[in-house]
Amino acid sequence: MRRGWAWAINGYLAAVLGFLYLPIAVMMVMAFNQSSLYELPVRFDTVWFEALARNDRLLRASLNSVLLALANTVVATVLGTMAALAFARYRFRGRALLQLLLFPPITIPWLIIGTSMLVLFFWIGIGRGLHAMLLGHVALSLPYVIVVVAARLKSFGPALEEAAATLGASPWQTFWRVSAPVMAPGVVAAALFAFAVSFDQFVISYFLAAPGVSTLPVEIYSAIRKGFTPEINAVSTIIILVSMGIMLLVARFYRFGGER
Amino acid sequence: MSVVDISGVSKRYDRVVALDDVSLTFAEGEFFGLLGPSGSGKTTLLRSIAGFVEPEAGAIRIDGADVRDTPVHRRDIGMVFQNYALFPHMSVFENIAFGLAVRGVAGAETAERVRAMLALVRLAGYEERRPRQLSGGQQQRVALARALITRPRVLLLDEPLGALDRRLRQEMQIELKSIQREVGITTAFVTHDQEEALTLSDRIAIFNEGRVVQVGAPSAVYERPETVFAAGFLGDANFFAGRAAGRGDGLGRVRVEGPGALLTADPLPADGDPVTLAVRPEKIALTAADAAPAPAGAPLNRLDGRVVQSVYSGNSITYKIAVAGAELTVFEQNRASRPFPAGAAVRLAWSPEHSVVVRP
Repeated sequence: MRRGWAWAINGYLAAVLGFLYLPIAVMMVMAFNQSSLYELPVRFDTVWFEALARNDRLLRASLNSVLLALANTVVATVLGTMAALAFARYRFRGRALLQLLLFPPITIPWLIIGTSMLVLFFWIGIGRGLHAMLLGHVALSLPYVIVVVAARLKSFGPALEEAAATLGASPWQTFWRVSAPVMAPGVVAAALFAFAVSFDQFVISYFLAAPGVSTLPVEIYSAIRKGFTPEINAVSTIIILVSMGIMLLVARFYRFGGER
Repeated sequence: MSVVDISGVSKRYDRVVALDDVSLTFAEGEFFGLLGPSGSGKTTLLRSIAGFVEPEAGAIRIDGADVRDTPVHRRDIGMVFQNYALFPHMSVFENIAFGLAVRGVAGAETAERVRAMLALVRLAGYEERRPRQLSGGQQQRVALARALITRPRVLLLDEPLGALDRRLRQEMQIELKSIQREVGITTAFVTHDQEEALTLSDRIAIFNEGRVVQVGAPSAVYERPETVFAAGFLGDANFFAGRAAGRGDGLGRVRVEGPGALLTADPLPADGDPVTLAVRPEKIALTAADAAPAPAGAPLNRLDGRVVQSVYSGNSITYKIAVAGAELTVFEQNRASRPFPAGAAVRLAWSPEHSVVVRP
C-alpha cells in the first residue's frame, strides 16, 4: 500500500516536472539542431546562434531589453524600498488606503493596464518609446518590490532600530549600520524580481514600443508572425538561461532572508 | 540628587489612558522596579524616559534637564529590550562595540572597553559568535554589555528576564543585581513578575490603570500595602470587609460579618465607616482545633475553620480554609510532621499588626 503511494507520488512529481520543463527542453535542443524544419535525429550545430549574431534587429532589441530591465531595477528597487520602509516604520495619513491600493494592479490583466497606459501616455504627451516602457515597467514592478522588502522588514520589527537609537546612533547611522544590512537580502531579492518582471514583460512593452524601438519579447513576437526561424529558439535559449539564473539567485537570497 | 525626575506625566492612546499624572524620582545608583499588570502603563513610562513615547503632559528630567526635545540618541540612556534586539548581522564584539562605533571611539580603546564588558558579563571568548549562536541567557548578557559600554546615565530594562526559563531567570536576577551594584548605574526596570520586583528593586512603584498606586522599598510595600490592588498584586492577601467599631488598648476593632470583631494596629476611620483589612497568608498560624489553647498573652485574632484543600509544594503547604462563610488562604512552612488533611478542624491566629487597613 505504502509502496503504491510512493510510486503514485513520484509519478505525479515526474509529470509536473515534465510538463514544466519538457517544452523548454525541446526548444533548447532545437536551438542546436541544424535543420530548420525540426527534423530528427538532431544534428548538433550552432548555425542558429551564428545567424542570431548577424541579426541586428534581434540584437538591438536584446540590448534594449537589458538596458530597460537594468534601469527598471534601479528605479523600482529604490522607490519600492523607500515605500516599504514608510509602510513598515511610519504612521501617516492614508497609509492603510495606500497599502490597499498596492495590490489591485497585480490582479488587473496586463493587456488592460497596457492599453490604459498607452491611452494615458498619448493623452499627456509622453508618447511611446523606451522612456514610456520604463514608466510602465516601474509601475508594474513597484508592488512586487514593496511586498518583498516589506516582508523582510516585518521579520525584524522596529526593535533593532530602537536599540540602535538608545545606543546613540542618529537616524542616518541607524539606517546605514542596522536597517540597510539587515534588510539587504530582501532588497536584493526584490531587485532581481524587478529585473525579471521587466525583462520578461511583453504585453506592456508591445503597447508602448515605438516603431524601430522594441524589446526582445516584442521582437520575438513579430518574428514569429513573419515566419518562425530557429534563431528564435537560439535567442529563447539564451533568455531562458538568463531568467532561470536570476530566479535561482532569488531563491538563494530568499533562503538567506528566512534564516534571520 | 535625583537622576531621573518624572513629574505629572500623562499619555493617552486614542481613548485609552496609558499614563495618568505619574510622578516618580530615581535616586543616584538606585535600582527602581516598575511593577504592574500588562497595560498598566509601566512600559509606556519606560519608553517615555527612553524617548520613544512623547507624553502629552508633565516633564521628564534627566540630571535636572528637561528631555522633551532631546531625541532618543542624545538622551544618554542604555536599554535592554525584552527580546534583546541584538543586531543579527554583527558578531558579539560588534554588537557590544556599537555604541562606541557610532561615537567614533578609536579602535584600540574600543577593543579595551569591549574586553572589560565581556569580562563583566562573563562572556570572554565569545567575541566572534553571532547572536543566534548564543543561548537566551548569553544573549541577555550581550544586550546588557551593549547597553552599559557607553556608561549611560540611566539603564532601562524592559522585562529583561521575561524570555528566560525559571531557573535561568533566578540566576540572572542575582547576576543582574551584582552587575548593577558593581557599575553603580541608576536603573529602572519593568516587570510583571512580583518576585523579581521584590528581589531586585531598591524601591518599587506599583502601577494600575496608568497610575502609580504605591511607591516604596520592597518590604515596606509588601508589609504595608495601601490599597486592595497593591495587596493583591504584590503577593497574596486575604481581605475582610467590615465597619470600624471603636478602639481599646491601642488596638482598633473592625466588625466583620461572619468572623465577628477583628483587631488591627492601624488607625481606623470614624465608627461605622467601612474598612477593608488585608492579611498575608503566611502571617496566619494554624493549630489543631483540639490542641491546648495558647496561653493568654498579647491579644490575637482567633478564628475557627475547617481545611477545604491543602496543596503540597515540598517546602511549603498552601491551605484553603473555610471560616464563617468565607474562604481564607493560609501559607505554612512545611515544619509539621503531618500536614493537616482536608476536612480537619483548625484554629487560625494572627497578630493585630498583620491586619493591614487598605483602601478599596
